Amino acid sequence: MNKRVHTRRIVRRLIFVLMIITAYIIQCSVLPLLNAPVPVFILIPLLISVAMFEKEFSGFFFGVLTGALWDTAASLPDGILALTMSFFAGFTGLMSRYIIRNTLLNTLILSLAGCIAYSAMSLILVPGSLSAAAAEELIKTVYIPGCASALALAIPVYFTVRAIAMRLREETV
Amino acid sequence: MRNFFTTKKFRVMLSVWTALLLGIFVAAVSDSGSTPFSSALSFIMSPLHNAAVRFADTFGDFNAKFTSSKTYADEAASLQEEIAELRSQLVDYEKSLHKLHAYEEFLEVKEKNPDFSFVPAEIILRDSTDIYGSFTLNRGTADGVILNCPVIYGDSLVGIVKTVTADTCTVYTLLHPEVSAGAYEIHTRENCFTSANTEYSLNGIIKAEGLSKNTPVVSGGIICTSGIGGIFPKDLIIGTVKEIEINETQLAAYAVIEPVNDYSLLTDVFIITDFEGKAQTESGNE
Repeated sequence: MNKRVHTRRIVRRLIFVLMIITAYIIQCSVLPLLNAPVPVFILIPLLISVAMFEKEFSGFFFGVLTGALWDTAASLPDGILALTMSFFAGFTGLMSRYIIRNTLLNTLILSLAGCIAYSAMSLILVPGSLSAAAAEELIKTVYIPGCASALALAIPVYFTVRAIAMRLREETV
Repeated sequence: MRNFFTTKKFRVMLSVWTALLLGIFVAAVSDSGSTPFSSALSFIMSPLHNAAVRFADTFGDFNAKFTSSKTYADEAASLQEEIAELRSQLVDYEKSLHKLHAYEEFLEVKEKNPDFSFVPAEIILRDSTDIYGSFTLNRGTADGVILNCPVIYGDSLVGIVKTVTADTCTVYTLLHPEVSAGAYEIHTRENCFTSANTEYSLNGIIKAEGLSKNTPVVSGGIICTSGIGGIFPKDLIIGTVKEIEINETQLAAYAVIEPVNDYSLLTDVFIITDFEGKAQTESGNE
């Protein structure tokens, strides 16, 4: 393999790793400690955007990293997010390679699907019995604002990831 | 696409997925409650967590300055700066006062209970979607923290350590359904135990169950830990009784309790690593 192609690939992936770590710190440490009024699921649109460009195999490993980081802060059973995020990322990469085009609209749709799946999983795995009223309250106050914030952030996140992927793409060399 | 499922890449992904699944089982049966991968990541990320806490503090100060300058936008620039500076100092003062108050209470608890061994800890991570107010602290097994160590703020109980890695631990608060403490009401000495459910937790309240139907406990009563079971030390304040309700079976009563602390506002806590009468159990509940 061309050495420059190899270097570009490594630099691009390192940047994505740094972006994921930064997003994790913002989502799980900085914003909650500043008592942000709504939860922000920034990791989901970032992972989906990265997986759209990195495709299924490396996207899968970005999913493992994202989920494992999120696991350290989440109240869900340890390891479950690494499992689900790797699945989301692998699935997105596969979709992006074989079925759908890599566009903002598709990223938004997949990010929304990811947020809904995460919310559903969190609701199912909430310890203790969850009444309908409590579930409704949780959806209104936690999950809908979280999904909305993720969708709003998906747009700048997608363009940032695209800019990095385009600048450091392997074919141009 | 069908070909992908027969490739080497797919087999690698499947192997990693199986390893992750195995990790979950390991976490479920291990003493620490965390996967080896999470433990390693917690260790690697701990400097970043500390930096993020510092950043959050700095940003809080900046926010105070920003608000101040906006509020006094019509005043002279020098006055604005002065006010912003004073505000910033006031924020620092309030923070110090808050911390001092916590340490004073802690000192009082320490004087009352010389058998307690404490570790001060800082909250570094929160799951913003968790309705039970769980959080992660910057202390782990390297600091002597083990599973089921009680966590306090001043002389009040906050929760219990539920998962622990070398550098971090996750705390479930009293709002979590998996946390239950043996308790008593200080005026009537009637025994009870705390419990939580989702509906109550959403409103930041818990229950003290096991009271007799004609309980003398009244609104305003104070509920403390009883020490029964050896998980929590005796006489840590849990909260104040808001009201008394008769349960569905009409055979017993329960008290609705408002915990002393607003868990979303806590930044520093203390972990009790050892105390007289501590049980060597693996259970999280008394």
